[in-house]
Amino acid sequence: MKRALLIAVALAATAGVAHAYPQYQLSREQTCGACHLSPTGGGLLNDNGELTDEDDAKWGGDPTFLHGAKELPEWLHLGGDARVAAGASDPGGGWGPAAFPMQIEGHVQADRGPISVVADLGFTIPNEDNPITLLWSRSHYLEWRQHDTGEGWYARGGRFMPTYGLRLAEHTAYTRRFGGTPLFSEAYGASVGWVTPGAELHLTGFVHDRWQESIEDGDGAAAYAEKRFGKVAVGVEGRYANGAEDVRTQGGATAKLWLDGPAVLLSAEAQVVHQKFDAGGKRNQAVAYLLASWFFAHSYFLDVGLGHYDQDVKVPDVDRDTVEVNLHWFPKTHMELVLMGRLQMIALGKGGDNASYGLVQFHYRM
Amino acid sequence: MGLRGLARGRVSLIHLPGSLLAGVKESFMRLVPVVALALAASACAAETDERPAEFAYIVKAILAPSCATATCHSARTQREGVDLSSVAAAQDTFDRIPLAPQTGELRNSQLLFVLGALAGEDPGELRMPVDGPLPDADIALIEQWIIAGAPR
Repeated sequence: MKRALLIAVALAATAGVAHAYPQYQLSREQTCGACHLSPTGGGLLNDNGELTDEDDAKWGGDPTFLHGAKELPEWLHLGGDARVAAGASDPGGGWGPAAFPMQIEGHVQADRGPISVVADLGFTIPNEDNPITLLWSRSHYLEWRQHDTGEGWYARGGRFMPTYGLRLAEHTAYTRRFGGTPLFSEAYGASVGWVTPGAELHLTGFVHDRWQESIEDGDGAAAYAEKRFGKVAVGVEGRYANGAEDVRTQGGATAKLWLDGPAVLLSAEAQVVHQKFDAGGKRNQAVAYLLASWFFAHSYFLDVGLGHYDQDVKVPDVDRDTVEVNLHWFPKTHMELVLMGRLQMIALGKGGDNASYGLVQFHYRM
Repeated sequence: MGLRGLARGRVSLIHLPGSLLAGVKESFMRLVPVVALALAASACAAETDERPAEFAYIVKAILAPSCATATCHSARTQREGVDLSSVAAAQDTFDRIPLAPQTGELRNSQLLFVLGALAGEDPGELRMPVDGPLPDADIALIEQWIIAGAPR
């Protein structure tokens, strides 16, 4: 029991917030804003996003807020997400039970013309000496959008995750965890962007959160640009963060390809992260992810991901590789079940113990 | 078009294996250059580990990325009073908790114990990090630092 609790607490750090499915991009819509209120994706769904939820659900349902029980004024958008997962995990020393809360979070957006106030409030595992840390607002910002559709220019200021990379929901992906957007690494900043079906550009300047102790401890900037050519998209990215004890400079590229015939989206991201330590020393890290998402039947899709992370390209046997398999099923609107499996190897098995997990995740969207 | 449309309109399970394989092969070849960017960097690895066995380096390069995750040993959560998010915070943590006593003896290190790196001792449910072990090379660097008296 103690083991289960320990794993529960600890895995919460590696599970957690997931919002959007970039896997849907190119297959039906070109931009994140086609389904989300936010032009950068994630969070609350717009009308088209709710219709997509209804369309995806095996047994249908009302996709609107609280299943249609409460109609909201046009200027107000409310929602929430709850995720839990359970199964078994092997952190390297043997298998044991694992169960954990991933996310309990509410979202609000209030519009007045082209201006919106966006915020979320959720729960997280608190600091034992500071119970107020049970409450947590990852994002709260003011946003201006040129058009209701989310296309065109936008600008925002406040606390949010700087737009960067593939923006995968699964934060265990190395390109998120070690590639600049680990879980809970939101920062205060200002961002400007331009989004169209053919291309998008996001520029963000940020400073780390002095009050909520974000994982991101640096001040810097992030840039991401993506150009789409029909069913193909290519992107470039760059990020700089000057922390209290190190400086991280990184850059990379993304690519996506939608295959109509087999209904598969291939996504790839590769980065090099240069880290210079104030106390001396530096290293170059390599991070890559290749994801195949197969929409093999109505209300299902299957993700198979291959990840590679080398924490120092000059040091032998400190690289890691993963195989991740996630089967998503949408039984009814607002609901999702995911069967998740993962195997991690160090130096392909010669640099340390392997680690694995097998979990079932339940996600409810309010 | 939603998944339903995809599934009913364009996806044929009968023809799927062949077209899937062909499509994946073609796409993979196009995406290879992107992924190769990072993999090529990895391929340039040297054959020796010349990293400094120093506290500041070990904290920032090894412990912080692996242990100071969102709800574990981050500055915010500090599970069990352990904060490994920065050198300064880790300094305080190591001063309060015998993670690496400065005796030069490996067997007294709670850090090595939870990492599963003490010979003959199984941490069982306490094994960390819980999402995957550290590479042996990282543990060797930590051991080297502890043997040197764990200077901070």
